[in-house]
Amino acid sequence: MLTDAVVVGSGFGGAVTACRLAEGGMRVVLLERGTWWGPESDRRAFPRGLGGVARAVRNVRLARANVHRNLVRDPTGLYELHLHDQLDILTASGVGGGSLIYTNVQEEPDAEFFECFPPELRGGEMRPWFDRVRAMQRPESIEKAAVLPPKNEAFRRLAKVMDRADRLEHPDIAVVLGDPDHPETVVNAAGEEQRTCNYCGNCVLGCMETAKTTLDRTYIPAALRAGTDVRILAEVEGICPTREGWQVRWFDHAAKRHRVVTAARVVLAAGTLGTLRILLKSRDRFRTLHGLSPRLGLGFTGNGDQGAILLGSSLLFAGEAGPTFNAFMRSRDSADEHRFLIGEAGIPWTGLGLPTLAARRLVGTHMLLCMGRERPDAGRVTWRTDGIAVDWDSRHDAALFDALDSEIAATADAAGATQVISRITSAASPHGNFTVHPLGGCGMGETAETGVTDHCGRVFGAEGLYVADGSLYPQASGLPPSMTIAALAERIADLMLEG
Amino acid sequence: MALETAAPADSADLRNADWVTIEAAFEGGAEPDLTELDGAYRGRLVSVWGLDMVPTPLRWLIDVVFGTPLMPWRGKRFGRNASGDRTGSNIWLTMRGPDIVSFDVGDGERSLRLDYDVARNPAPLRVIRGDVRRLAPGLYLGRMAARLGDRDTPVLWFTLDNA
Ligand SMILES: Cc1cc2nc3c(=O)[nH]c(=O)nc-3n(C[C@H](O)[C@H](O)[C@H](O)COP(=O)(O)OP(=O)(O)OC[C@H]3O[C@@H](n4cnc5c(N)ncnc54)[C@H](O)[C@@H]3O)c2cc1C
Repeated sequence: MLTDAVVVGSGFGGAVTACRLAEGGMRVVLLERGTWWGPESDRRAFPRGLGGVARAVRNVRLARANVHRNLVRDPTGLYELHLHDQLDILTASGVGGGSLIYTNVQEEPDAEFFECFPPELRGGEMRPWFDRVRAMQRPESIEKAAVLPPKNEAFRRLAKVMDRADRLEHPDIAVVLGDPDHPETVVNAAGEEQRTCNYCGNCVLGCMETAKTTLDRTYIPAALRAGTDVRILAEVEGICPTREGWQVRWFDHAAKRHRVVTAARVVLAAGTLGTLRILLKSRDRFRTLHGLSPRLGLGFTGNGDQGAILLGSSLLFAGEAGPTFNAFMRSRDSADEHRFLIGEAGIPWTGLGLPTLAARRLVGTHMLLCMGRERPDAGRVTWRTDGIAVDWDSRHDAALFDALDSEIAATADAAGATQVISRITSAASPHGNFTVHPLGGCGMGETAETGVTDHCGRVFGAEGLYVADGSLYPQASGLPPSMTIAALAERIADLMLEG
Repeated sequence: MALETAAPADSADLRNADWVTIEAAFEGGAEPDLTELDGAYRGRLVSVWGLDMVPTPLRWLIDVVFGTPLMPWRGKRFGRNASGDRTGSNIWLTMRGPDIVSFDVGDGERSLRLDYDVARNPAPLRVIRGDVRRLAPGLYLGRMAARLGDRDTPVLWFTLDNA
C-alpha cells in the first residue's frame, strides 16, 4: 500500500513535519523507534533513582577504532549513549525525541547565522516559521515565573562577581511556569492539559508533572488528530527507491520482525545520528541508495559543546530546584556575533535518589554546560561494518575549546570551586569531548557539491526523499538548536504541501 | 492504516507459505544491481520442492528444523574474484564458518543469476542455477533450480538478509 508520506522519528523535526503534513491532507505514517513516556498509566514512567536511570538506557553504542558493539539494548529505553573515538554523544529515544530529556531552551539564532544556509533562508525568511513554533510551544523566560528559583539568584550573583552581569541572559524555555508551590492545570496550544512547573529539577530525567512542553503534548497529539498513523517501537533500517516512491524497511520491536511500508515521500527526521545511520546504511550496506551528495556525513559537529563539573563550590550552591538550564552568560566576538555561552545545569540529585551520605558529600557539586560556534567542517560520520562512526577531534577548533576551558576555569574560580572536572568524556585522549547536540552531516546547500539537501530539505539525487532534523545544519550555531530544527521542519512541511 | 498488508519484509513472512505465494513475492521483487550484493548475508531456507504436499503439522516441523543448527547452511557471501568478476559462495555451520560451493554472479531475468557451473564445484552441483530478487532493503528472495536439459526446474526457495 502506498501512503503519501512516511516520517521517520518523532523529535523536533519529525513531530512537526508529521503534524503539518497530516493537517495539510496527506496520509502520514510516523515511525518512531521508542515508546510513549509520561505519568499516564498507558505510558512508561520516566526513570527515577540511579537504578531506574540504568534501566532506562536504550543502548550504549561503543564505536571506537577497533571495537563496535552495542552494550545494552532495550528498545523501550529512553537514553542512548554513543561512545566514539573522541566524542561521547547523548541522545533520546521515545515519542517526542530529544524533547523528553532536553533542558527546554528554545533559542533563536541571530539572522546572521543563516548565512551558512542556502540563500533562500536568509534575510528574515525564517521569521514566520519560528513564530509558528513559538505559537505551539509557548516558551517563556524564567523571569516571567511567579518565583525565581534560588539557583537563578545564585547564578546572578556569580555573573556579578565575574563582572559579567551584562552577559547574563534568560532564554525562553518550553515549560509551563506558574507558582511552584501551587501547581495548576492549564490547557496548552494543542488543547492538551499540562501542570505548571513545581521546580523539581528533574527535566533531564523526564517530566512526571507534565510541565515540560514536550512534543508528545503538542505537535504529536495534533498530528494524531489530523490522522497520522503513529507507530512506536518501529525502527527504520533502510530505504530504497521504487517505481512508485520509496520502500522503507523497519523493525517492529513489539512483534520482533521486519516490516515494509511504501510511500510517495519519505522524511528522515531520526535525529542527526539516526538519519545518518539510515542513509549511510542504505548506501553502504544495503547498497540501495545511489547518487547522493559526496558531502553525506561531512560537516558533522557537536555544536561546540563542553561540559564541566565543579566540586565544592560555595557560591553556586542553591540546590537543583527549578528548570534545569534556564540562564547563561553569552560571549560575543569582535563582530558582536555569538561565540559561546556558559550556564549552570542543575544535576537532578533528588530524582536520582542518592543515599543521604553521598548527597551530603555532593553538596556544592554543579554542572556547567557550554556550547560555541565550532568552525565549519568539524567532523565526519561514516559507515563501518555494522554502524556509524564519528570522526571528530577538538583540535580542529582549538581556539574555541581553549576559550571554553578558560571560561570554565574562571567560572569555577569565581564560584569558589575546590575542583573542576572539565571536558567530561569517556575518551582517553585530552582532545575528546561530550555533546548533547549532534548536528550536521546532511547539511543544506545550494548544490550537491555544497550540501546533501537543498533549502527545502530535499535530498539531492533522490527525488521524494527529505531530511528534516538536526543533520540539516551546515555549521554549528553554538546555541541550543531545537527551535531552529522545529522551524526548519515547519518550513519544509509547508513547501512539501505546496508541491 | 493496514501497513501489515505490505509485501514480505522478513523471512518469517514467507515461512510455511505455499509456492504460489512465494512465487508471487518473487514476481513482485525488484532486480538488484549486479554490485548490490556484497559481503555476508544470513540465509534462511523458506521452502523446498514437495513441501506443499506434506501434511501441515509435518510441514511446520520441517520449517522449524530449517531454522535450527540441524540445518547447516547459514547464508551466502558475495564479492569479486581476482579478475574483478562478481562471485559468491555458501557459508556453512556459523556465519564465520567455511565458504564452500561457489557460484558466479551475473545478470538474470529481472534478477541476479547465481551460476554454480564453476570448475571448483563437484559435477552434480554444477547443474544448480539461482535467481535472486530484492524484496526490501537488505532482504532478498532466491529461487534455486536444477538445470535439466535446457530447462530450470525449481527446487527450493531461500531468503538472504543483511539488516
Ligand atoms: C540532556 C539534553 C539536553 C538538551 N537540552 C536542549 C535544550 O535545552 N535546548 C535545545 O534546543 N536542545 C537541547 N538538546 C538537544 C535537542 O534535544 C536536540 O537537538 C533535538 O532533540 C534534535 O531534534 P531532532 O529532530 O534532530 O532529533 P531528535 O529529537 O533526537 O529525534 C529523533 C527521533 O528519531 C527516533 N529515531 C532514531 N532513529 C530511528 C530509526 N532508525 N527509526 C525510527 N525512529 C528513529 C529517535 O528515537 C528520536 O525520537 C538537549 C539534548 C539532551 C540530550
